[in-house]
Amino acid sequence: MKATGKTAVSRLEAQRKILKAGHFFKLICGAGNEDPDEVYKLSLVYTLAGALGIDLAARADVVTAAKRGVADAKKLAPAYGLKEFIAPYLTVSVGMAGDPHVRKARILDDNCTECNACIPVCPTEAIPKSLTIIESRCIGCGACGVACQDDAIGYSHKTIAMEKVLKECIAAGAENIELHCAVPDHEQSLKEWKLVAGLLPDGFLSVCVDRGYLSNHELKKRLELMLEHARGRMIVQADGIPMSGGKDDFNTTLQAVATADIVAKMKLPVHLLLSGGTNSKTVELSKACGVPYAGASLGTYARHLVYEHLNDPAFPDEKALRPAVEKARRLVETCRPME
Amino acid sequence: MYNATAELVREASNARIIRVRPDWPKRRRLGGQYGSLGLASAADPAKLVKRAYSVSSPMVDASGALIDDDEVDWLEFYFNRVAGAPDREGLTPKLFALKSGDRIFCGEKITGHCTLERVPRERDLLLVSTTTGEAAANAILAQHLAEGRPGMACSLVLGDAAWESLYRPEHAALQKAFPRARVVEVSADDAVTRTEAMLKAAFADAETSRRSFGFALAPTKTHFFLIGDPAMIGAPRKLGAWTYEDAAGGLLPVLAKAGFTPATRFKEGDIDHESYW
Repeated sequence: MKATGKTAVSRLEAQRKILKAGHFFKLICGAGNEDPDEVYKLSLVYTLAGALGIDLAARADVVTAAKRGVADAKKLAPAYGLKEFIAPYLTVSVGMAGDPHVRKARILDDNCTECNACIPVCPTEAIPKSLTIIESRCIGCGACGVACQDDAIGYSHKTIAMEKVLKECIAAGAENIELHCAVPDHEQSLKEWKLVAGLLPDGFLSVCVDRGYLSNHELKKRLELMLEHARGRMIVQADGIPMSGGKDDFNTTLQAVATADIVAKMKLPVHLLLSGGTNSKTVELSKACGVPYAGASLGTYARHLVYEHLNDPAFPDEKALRPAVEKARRLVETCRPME
Repeated sequence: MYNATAELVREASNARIIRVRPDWPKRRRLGGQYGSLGLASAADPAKLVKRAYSVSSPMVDASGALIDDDEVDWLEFYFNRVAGAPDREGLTPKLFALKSGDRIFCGEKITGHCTLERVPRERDLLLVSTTTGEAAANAILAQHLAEGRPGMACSLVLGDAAWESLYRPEHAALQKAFPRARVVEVSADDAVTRTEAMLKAAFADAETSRRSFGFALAPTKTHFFLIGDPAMIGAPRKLGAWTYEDAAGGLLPVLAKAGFTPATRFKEGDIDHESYW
């Protein structure tokens, strides 16, 4: 089902206004998070908290789970004091081989010393005592590789039939598509971008880039090339250090703001989201540094803020849901327009 | 295959201190982090048997002056033979057979989260370690002093009745040079139970705490490091994603009852812990 017609257009315009106003808070469930149950819970909590975007793995069942979370949140909205209900824009994330967001980690038995250091640092609890990584939980963040003292973590790209999968996701309710292309190759990135742009002619397209492979000059070139295919509806998610969030301090979010600053100085007609090590300090730091933003995308920090409630057997009963929503709301409220 | 040279510093029947001089340029590390050591496998000499070991620190020289880690070209490791500890292909006995000048593999990456990185500078430190865990405790204590942190620090090193730390000379020199640092050996077959009792008494009475550790214990003022035997730590056992089973014993439940909370990569807290033998 293509997003067309009056409702779709007004949703697009509404999103544009939100982005221009600078308070687009996007919850990142994780491009590699393929757990529909967790995605449902996160979507329920953050929709009630006022999030305006939810970023998902490109799987129809995951999109459906998020839609269900949003629908349940709508029913509960009055009880949670949500005066104006805006259904969050659902973004599905796809990525190119080499981009960390779409890779899966595995433990290389020959190198592993079984020190177990990778277990507690995994943000998604994807590593059990058996040291066989649970693929559906792995988001490819690389925290296990950082903790591993002996190069016992390898990565593989999960190949998907992008066109088919994206069509299924759009049919399930995805309104935005995000391409993760933190890879050196412009040509291949552009090829994927054109495909994405063609699949979603009436929705926002987002590109998530960091500076791991691209100089400032090459980053600008990439964005300019992409802009030709998405003028007026392009979001750039400036990814400081991909998936590095967790701590709530200025240092952790410094690179997210620094990367956004570089993109902002390119003066391109795009909407700029902060990501990659984001937390409750991100927008404050961005304001203090005078870096313009359309909003902030929060993953690891946002999820960990509420996990204890999501994993309470009582969830989604009031006693587990309400404290989760209250915590999430305080975080969402940090994403305020620049004065 | 080998990229470092070993030097034996000191040994007893059940413990050894070895310095490893890597061929590669040494990088900065934090106290409490670990690297890996390896020796050729007996089954396949072309392969290495490797294991993670915390980097230790002698802390001070004979005069009591702090050793600047940037100024030395070695990494120090401390090995203890621990009954019942898992040991891949008998690496530990091989390390006990090393002689000065022997070649060894030393992983270039030194990493780990059980460090002072997130501990507020003014906190008093109480480090509790068992045998080999003392390596990390020594390194953390050395960093605490080297950074001029104003808090007091006490390191409780636990072992069975026959155990004594090989670092006794350094402990003595350290305490002489730094009155705000204290090292207490708890050598007893029920060392964990005794430590539990010490902590409970300290929580009940600030003066008792000052006598035992040099400072009063309080969640807003003290940071704990528990390093070593999982039974001493008493961390919840992971059953699956987000599912844990509480430990029957250990120090974590005692500290939790007193208002302390474990820190994780994702959550602030006043207890860091790391399990190993």
